[in-house]
Amino acid sequence: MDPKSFNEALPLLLQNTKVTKSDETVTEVSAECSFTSSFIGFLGHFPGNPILPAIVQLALVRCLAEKIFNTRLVPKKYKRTKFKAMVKPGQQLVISFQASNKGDEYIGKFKIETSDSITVSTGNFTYAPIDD
Amino acid sequence: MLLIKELIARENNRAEALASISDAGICTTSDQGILPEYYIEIMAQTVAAAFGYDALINNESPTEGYIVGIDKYSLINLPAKWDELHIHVQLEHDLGTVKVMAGEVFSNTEKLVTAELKLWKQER
Repeated sequence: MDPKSFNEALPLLLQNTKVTKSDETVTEVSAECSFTSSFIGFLGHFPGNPILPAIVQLALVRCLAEKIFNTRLVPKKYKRTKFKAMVKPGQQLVISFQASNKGDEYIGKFKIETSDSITVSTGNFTYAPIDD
Repeated sequence: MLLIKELIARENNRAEALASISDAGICTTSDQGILPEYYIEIMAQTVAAAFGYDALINNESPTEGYIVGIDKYSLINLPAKWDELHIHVQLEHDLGTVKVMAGEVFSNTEKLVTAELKLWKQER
């Protein structure tokens, strides 16, 4: 049964996660995912024209960061975030980010592109851990 | 994916809406709470509702719109509990098909989020 919430669904969709760089200054990560037509984010967005919501793209990056840094995160800031192409069901995506740890926050930038290198979205973020 | 409950005000370049968060929905789970990106979507949907209302009173069909940019997003506070949220949006710049909107989300009188959204709106 498909998950009924984004919180449940998105971590399951990240595949082939790779840490491409990790040192004292920066962590660089990539992963892949794609969405079937039954993905909850397409329901009603929009009828007859399924498009992946922008917030799902942002949540994917955050979920990837949570997986790598092993902590739940909340976005404190977004800057210069742009959504340049639409994502349809079945499109293969590559999600990547680079982030630096500043105090207890992670500051970085992300990029989502299709498997044939079309840029879908880019932006800058600041994540902070959530107290559970 | 309708997340706002009601458009409650539409005047000049401003609009206000309400959103209620249920225990379990597309953007919530009982163990993890609210999807953090939820606040962006309810601001965008408030803008969409405002434009839809404009179309309605002008006897026009609604047009499509999409988020194309986010800037100056700042999470100030998380809601203490799953209160009803109050969303304010205001048109800052009209660039033809691209509208630059300032948005704020409140829980009671406490400001939770501010952001600038760039939205593409289909021309007639």
